[in-house]
Amino acid sequence: MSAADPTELELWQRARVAGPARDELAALALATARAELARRGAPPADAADLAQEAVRTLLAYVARGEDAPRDLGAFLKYRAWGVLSDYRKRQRSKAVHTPLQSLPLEPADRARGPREHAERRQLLDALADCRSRLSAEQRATLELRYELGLEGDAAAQHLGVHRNTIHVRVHRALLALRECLERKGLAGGVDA
Amino acid sequence: MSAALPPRPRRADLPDDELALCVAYLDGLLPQEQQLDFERRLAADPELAARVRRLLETDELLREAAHRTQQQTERARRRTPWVWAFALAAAAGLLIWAAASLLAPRGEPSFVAALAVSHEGAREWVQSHEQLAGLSTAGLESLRGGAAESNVTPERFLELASEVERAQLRRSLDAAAPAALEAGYFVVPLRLAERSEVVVVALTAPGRAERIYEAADLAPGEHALPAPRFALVGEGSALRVRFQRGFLTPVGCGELPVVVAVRRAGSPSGGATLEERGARDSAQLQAALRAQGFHTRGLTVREPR
Repeated sequence: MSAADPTELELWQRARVAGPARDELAALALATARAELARRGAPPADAADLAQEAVRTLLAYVARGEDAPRDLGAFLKYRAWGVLSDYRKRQRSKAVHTPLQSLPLEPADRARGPREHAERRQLLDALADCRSRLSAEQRATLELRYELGLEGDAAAQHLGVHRNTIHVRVHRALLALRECLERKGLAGGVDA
Repeated sequence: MSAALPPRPRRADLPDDELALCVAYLDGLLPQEQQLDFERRLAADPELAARVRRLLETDELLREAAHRTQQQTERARRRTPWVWAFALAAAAGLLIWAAASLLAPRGEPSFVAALAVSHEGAREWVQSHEQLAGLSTAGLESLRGGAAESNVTPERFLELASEVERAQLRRSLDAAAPAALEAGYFVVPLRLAERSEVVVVALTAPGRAERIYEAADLAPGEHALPAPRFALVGEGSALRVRFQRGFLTPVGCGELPVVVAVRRAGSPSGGATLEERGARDSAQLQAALRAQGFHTRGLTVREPR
């Protein structure tokens, strides 16, 4: 593993205290988080708050004296992933208490036009086919997770196994699905 | 979709603990410090990062598929009782309709809607209300790295800000505020006389109407749509306020026609109709919504020059 870029390293170190370097890092983090959150389909109404959350937690991390990451740009992007994961977890826990009638009627759809809709439909059909080819154990784990909303501890309790076991099964099932989609000539996501 | 695929991650697999860690990260289960450490690892290990990205994208796709299925089921569930109940309810419904037609008040629907300015950031919103001048609390300073000292708890700040916002809403609603407003961000103050289904639709271009807010059952009273300006987030020492900006006026739109549509909660719903989605102006949009049983009010937001 090589060391961090010297310019980025210097920025990181100077950003440990309030001043122009911290402002520069905050601005960079904000721009990266906004772009990445948009790419990842964060709801526009919450994206600004999530971007601010990414900046706030980053600055706290820097101020604690943690070492600079090897690739600052990549690290800032993954910070956006982290806050988005936290956000989705909160949304999922809220959904348990939300009457079904109050769910939005339109799907969280990233497709923008008729062609994209058709491609998205094709992708989802392919996904269903790939899913049917998984092992029974993997299918059951995914059904608990996505259709019944049981994740982590709840799924582990349901199946009588350790939480890590559920996570390992989910990991392998997701990779298997991704590879199946790739074999069909379809990527699982929207970006590279 | 047909873009070149990224290099396939190694399959000489990671230990089980590492596999589990990746999913715990995706699910937001890691404590914040561990989460950031894991992100630093991702920044140093492109192979691991590619693996996590593939997991993330597949997870998102599965959630999208589950969401669509759930919606289809819900739509079918909403329609089915009507099919079965229709024959039995028809006679009674006709009688009730006749009575209601004779007795119901004519004219304006039982709601008032207006427009109010919001801002991109919490600080600007706070500065625009002198009652909040000088207040600082956790969450307001997030872009300054916590440089300013908090002088009020998040709970107290929320109380004060909510009071100020309620007064602002009441003024907008009582003053029969103009139906047009210039703002980069805006909220829709709404007063309801009864439990109602509420939809806010924006006409982002002729032939392109989008529902920007939907609530199946809002309580009687005053509301700020899409949500109050501030909410509490986090717990314990991480408790802080979070600013909610409201609706964005799209850049370059010039004028954004907005229609607030209200009907009695529990009305049968089939989602936006083709006429609604394809409306070319506010009048067409309101006609399409009225055809679905909504009462409407047309508003206009102008993009700041």
